[in-house]
Amino acid sequence: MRRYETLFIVDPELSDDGLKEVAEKFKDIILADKGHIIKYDEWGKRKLAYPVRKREYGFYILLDYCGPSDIVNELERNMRIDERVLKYITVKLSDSFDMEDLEKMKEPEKSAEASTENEGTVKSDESEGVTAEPESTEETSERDDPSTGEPGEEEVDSGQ
Amino acid sequence: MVVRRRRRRVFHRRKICRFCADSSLKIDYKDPKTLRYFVTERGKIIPRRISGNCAKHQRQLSLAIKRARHIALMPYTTTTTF
Repeated sequence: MRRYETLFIVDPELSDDGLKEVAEKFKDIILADKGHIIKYDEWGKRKLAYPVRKREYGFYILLDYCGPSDIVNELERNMRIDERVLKYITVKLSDSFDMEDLEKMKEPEKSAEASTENEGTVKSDESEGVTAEPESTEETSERDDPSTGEPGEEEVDSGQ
Repeated sequence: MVVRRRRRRVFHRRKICRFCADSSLKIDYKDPKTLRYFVTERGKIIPRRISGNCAKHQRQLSLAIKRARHIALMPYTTTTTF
Protein backbone atom coordinates (compact mmCIF):
# COMPACT_ATOMS: atom_id res chain seq x y z
CA MET A 1 0.00 0.00 0.00
CA ARG A 2 1.05 3.50 -0.73
CA ARG A 3 -0.05 6.80 0.60
CA TYR A 4 -1.16 9.51 -1.80
CA GLU A 5 -2.78 12.85 -1.67
CA THR A 6 -4.90 14.38 -4.38
CA LEU A 7 -5.74 18.03 -4.51
CA PHE A 8 -8.44 18.91 -7.01
CA ILE A 9 -10.41 21.94 -8.03
CA VAL A 10 -14.16 21.67 -8.48
CA ASP A 11 -16.30 24.14 -10.39
CA PRO A 12 -17.37 26.72 -7.78
CA GLU A 13 -20.59 27.53 -9.62
CA LEU A 14 -22.07 24.22 -8.48
CA SER A 15 -24.59 24.19 -5.66
CA ASP A 16 -23.61 22.85 -2.24
CA ASP A 17 -25.31 19.56 -3.05
CA GLY A 18 -23.43 19.38 -6.32
CA LEU A 19 -20.11 19.86 -4.54
CA LYS A 20 -20.95 17.18 -2.01
CA GLU A 21 -21.96 14.82 -4.78
CA VAL A 22 -18.60 15.28 -6.53
CA ALA A 23 -16.68 14.73 -3.29
CA GLU A 24 -18.71 11.63 -2.47
CA LYS A 25 -18.16 10.26 -5.95
CA PHE A 26 -14.39 10.34 -5.61
CA LYS A 27 -14.47 9.08 -2.06
CA ASP A 28 -16.50 6.10 -3.27
CA ILE A 29 -13.97 5.42 -6.04
CA ILE A 30 -11.21 5.21 -3.44
CA LEU A 31 -13.22 2.97 -1.16
CA ALA A 32 -14.28 0.74 -4.06
CA ASP A 33 -10.62 0.14 -4.96
CA LYS A 34 -9.68 -1.07 -1.50
CA GLY A 35 -8.34 2.28 -0.45
CA HIS A 36 -8.76 4.09 2.82
CA ILE A 37 -9.35 7.78 3.26
CA ILE A 38 -7.01 9.24 5.87
CA LYS A 39 -8.08 12.83 5.61
CA TYR A 40 -10.70 14.75 3.68
CA ASP A 41 -10.27 18.49 3.70
CA GLU A 42 -12.36 21.15 1.98
CA TRP A 43 -10.31 24.27 1.47
CA GLY A 44 -13.30 26.13 0.15
CA LYS A 45 -13.61 28.68 -2.61
CA ARG A 46 -10.32 30.33 -3.52
CA LYS A 47 -9.17 32.65 -6.23
CA LEU A 48 -7.17 30.86 -8.88
CA ALA A 49 -3.76 32.22 -9.80
CA TYR A 50 -4.84 32.16 -13.43
CA PRO A 51 -8.22 31.47 -15.06
CA VAL A 52 -9.01 27.83 -15.73
CA ARG A 53 -11.77 27.16 -18.23
CA LYS A 54 -12.69 30.83 -17.99
CA ARG A 55 -13.27 30.60 -14.25
CA GLU A 56 -11.53 32.91 -11.81
CA TYR A 57 -12.44 30.97 -8.69
CA GLY A 58 -12.23 27.32 -7.74
CA PHE A 59 -13.37 25.09 -4.92
CA TYR A 60 -10.34 23.20 -3.58
CA ILE A 61 -10.67 19.74 -2.06
CA LEU A 62 -7.80 17.73 -0.59
CA LEU A 63 -7.99 13.96 -0.31
CA ASP A 64 -5.37 12.11 1.69
CA TYR A 65 -5.65 8.36 1.20
CA CYS A 66 -3.76 5.12 0.99
CA GLY A 67 -4.23 2.13 -1.26
CA PRO A 68 -2.78 0.10 -4.12
CA SER A 69 -1.15 2.02 -6.96
CA ASP A 70 -4.00 1.34 -9.46
CA ILE A 71 -6.15 3.61 -7.38
CA VAL A 72 -4.46 6.71 -8.77
CA ASN A 73 -5.08 5.67 -12.36
CA GLU A 74 -8.73 5.03 -11.68
CA LEU A 75 -9.19 8.25 -9.74
CA GLU A 76 -7.44 10.42 -12.31
CA ARG A 77 -9.29 8.73 -15.17
CA ASN A 78 -12.58 9.69 -13.53
CA MET A 79 -11.40 13.21 -12.87
CA ARG A 80 -10.51 13.67 -16.51
CA ILE A 81 -13.98 12.52 -17.55
CA ASP A 82 -15.83 14.59 -14.98
CA GLU A 83 -16.40 18.09 -16.31
CA ARG A 84 -17.01 19.51 -12.86
CA VAL A 85 -13.35 18.93 -11.96
CA LEU A 86 -11.21 21.76 -13.32
CA LYS A 87 -7.77 20.52 -12.29
CA TYR A 88 -6.18 17.86 -10.13
CA ILE A 89 -2.77 16.85 -8.83
CA THR A 90 -1.75 13.62 -7.14
CA VAL A 91 1.37 13.34 -5.03
CA LYS A 92 2.82 10.20 -3.49
CA LEU A 93 3.47 10.80 0.19
CA SER A 94 5.08 7.51 1.11
CA ASP A 95 5.97 4.23 -0.58
CA SER A 96 4.93 1.85 2.16
CA PHE A 97 1.92 2.37 4.26
CA ASP A 98 0.30 -0.40 6.31
CA MET A 99 -2.97 -0.69 8.11
CA GLU A 100 -1.06 -0.47 11.36
CA ASP A 101 0.28 2.93 10.39
CA LEU A 102 -3.23 3.99 9.55
CA GLU A 103 -4.57 2.98 12.93
CA LYS A 104 -1.64 4.60 14.67
CA MET A 105 -2.26 7.80 12.80
CA LYS A 106 -5.98 7.95 13.37
CA GLU A 107 -5.77 8.50 17.11
CA PRO A 108 -2.81 10.87 17.47
CA GLU A 109 -3.73 12.81 14.37
CA LYS A 110 -6.91 14.16 15.85
CA SER A 111 -5.03 15.71 18.74
CA ALA A 112 -2.01 16.55 16.59
CA GLU A 113 -4.04 18.22 13.91
CA ALA A 114 -4.99 21.10 16.14
CA SER A 115 -1.37 21.68 17.09
CA THR A 116 -0.09 21.42 13.53
CA GLU A 117 -2.65 23.95 12.41
CA ASN A 118 -1.33 26.35 14.99
CA GLU A 119 2.19 25.63 13.83
CA GLY A 120 1.13 26.47 10.32
CA THR A 121 0.14 29.95 11.31
CA VAL A 122 3.32 30.37 13.30
CA LYS A 123 5.32 29.23 10.31
CA SER A 124 3.97 31.95 8.09
CA ASP A 125 4.75 34.55 10.72
CA GLU A 126 8.26 33.25 11.11
CA SER A 127 8.90 33.24 7.41
CA GLU A 128 7.83 36.86 7.27
CA GLY A 129 10.29 37.62 10.02
CA VAL A 130 13.00 35.76 8.15
CA THR A 131 12.45 37.70 4.96
CA ALA A 132 12.60 40.94 6.85
CA GLU A 133 15.91 39.96 8.39
CA PRO A 134 18.26 40.02 5.39
CA GLU A 135 17.67 43.76 5.00
CA SER A 136 18.63 44.41 8.57
CA THR A 137 21.66 42.11 8.37
CA GLU A 138 22.70 43.92 5.23
CA GLU A 139 22.83 47.16 7.14
CA THR A 140 24.79 45.69 9.99
CA SER A 141 27.24 44.01 7.64
CA GLU A 142 27.79 47.32 5.91
CA ARG A 143 28.50 48.89 9.23
CA ASP A 144 30.74 46.09 10.33
CA ASP A 145 32.75 45.79 7.17
CA PRO A 146 34.52 49.17 7.22
CA SER A 147 36.05 48.20 10.54
CA THR A 148 37.18 44.88 9.11
CA GLY A 149 38.17 46.65 5.91
CA GLU A 150 40.62 48.93 7.64
CA PRO A 151 43.16 46.26 8.50
CA GLY A 152 42.80 45.13 4.88
CA GLU A 153 43.74 48.62 3.78
CA GLU A 154 46.87 48.50 5.82
CA GLU A 155 47.79 45.22 4.30
CA VAL A 156 47.34 46.70 0.86
CA ASP A 157 49.54 49.64 1.80
CA SER A 158 52.25 47.45 3.19
CA GLY A 159 52.03 45.29 0.08
CA GLN A 160 52.55 48.29 -2.17
CA MET B 1 41.18 52.12 -5.60
CA VAL B 2 41.13 51.25 -1.97
CA VAL B 3 37.63 52.61 -1.55
CA ARG B 4 36.38 50.55 -4.48
CA ARG B 5 37.85 47.40 -3.04
CA ARG B 6 36.17 48.05 0.24
CA ARG B 7 32.79 48.49 -1.45
CA ARG B 8 33.12 45.24 -3.29
CA ARG B 9 33.81 43.48 -0.07
CA VAL B 10 30.56 44.83 1.40
CA PHE B 11 28.50 43.03 -1.19
CA HIS B 12 30.03 39.69 -0.34
CA ARG B 13 27.43 38.89 2.24
CA ARG B 14 27.31 35.30 3.34
CA LYS B 15 23.92 33.87 2.49
CA ILE B 16 22.29 31.24 4.58
CA CYS B 17 19.81 28.66 3.38
CA ARG B 18 16.59 29.61 5.10
CA PHE B 19 15.35 26.03 5.23
CA CYS B 20 18.57 24.75 6.78
CA ALA B 21 18.58 27.50 9.38
CA ASP B 22 14.96 26.97 10.37
CA SER B 23 13.90 23.35 10.37
CA SER B 24 10.30 24.27 11.20
CA LEU B 25 10.01 25.90 7.79
CA LYS B 26 8.75 23.19 5.45
CA ILE B 27 8.59 23.19 1.69
CA ASP B 28 5.07 22.29 0.64
CA TYR B 29 3.37 22.95 -2.66
CA LYS B 30 0.08 23.47 -0.80
CA ASP B 31 1.49 26.47 1.02
CA PRO B 32 1.88 29.26 -1.54
CA LYS B 33 2.37 31.84 1.21
CA THR B 34 5.85 30.52 1.98
CA LEU B 35 6.71 29.79 -1.64
CA ARG B 36 5.84 33.34 -2.60
CA TYR B 37 9.06 34.59 -1.01
CA PHE B 38 11.07 32.60 -3.50
CA VAL B 39 9.54 33.92 -6.70
CA THR B 40 9.78 37.35 -8.29
CA GLU B 41 6.82 39.68 -8.66
CA ARG B 42 6.35 38.21 -12.08
CA GLY B 43 6.24 34.70 -10.69
CA LYS B 44 9.68 33.52 -11.79
CA ILE B 45 11.67 31.32 -9.44
CA ILE B 46 14.50 33.26 -7.81
CA PRO B 47 17.86 31.62 -8.56
CA ARG B 48 19.80 30.10 -5.72
CA ARG B 49 22.74 32.42 -6.20
CA ILE B 50 20.44 35.25 -5.14
CA SER B 51 18.17 33.60 -2.59
CA GLY B 52 21.08 31.79 -0.93
CA ASN B 53 19.32 28.44 -0.63
CA CYS B 54 21.34 25.25 -0.59
CA ALA B 55 21.12 22.93 -3.60
CA LYS B 56 19.02 20.35 -1.82
CA HIS B 57 16.38 22.78 -0.70
CA GLN B 58 16.38 24.70 -3.96
CA ARG B 59 15.54 21.49 -5.77
CA GLN B 60 12.67 20.75 -3.42
CA LEU B 61 11.53 24.34 -3.65
CA SER B 62 11.46 24.50 -7.44
CA LEU B 63 9.48 21.26 -7.54
CA ALA B 64 7.00 22.64 -5.01
CA ILE B 65 6.60 25.87 -6.96
CA LYS B 66 6.00 23.96 -10.17
CA ARG B 67 3.36 21.83 -8.48
CA ALA B 68 1.71 24.90 -7.00
CA ARG B 69 1.62 26.44 -10.47
CA HIS B 70 0.00 23.35 -11.92
CA ILE B 71 -2.85 23.42 -9.42
CA ALA B 72 -3.35 27.20 -9.88
CA LEU B 73 -2.15 28.17 -6.43
CA MET B 74 0.66 30.21 -7.97
CA PRO B 75 0.84 31.95 -11.31
CA TYR B 76 3.00 30.77 -14.18
CA THR B 77 3.40 34.42 -15.07
CA THR B 78 1.65 37.67 -14.32
CA THR B 79 1.95 41.31 -15.18
CA THR B 80 0.31 42.50 -11.99
CA THR B 81 1.70 41.94 -8.54
CA PHE B 82 0.01 39.12 -6.70
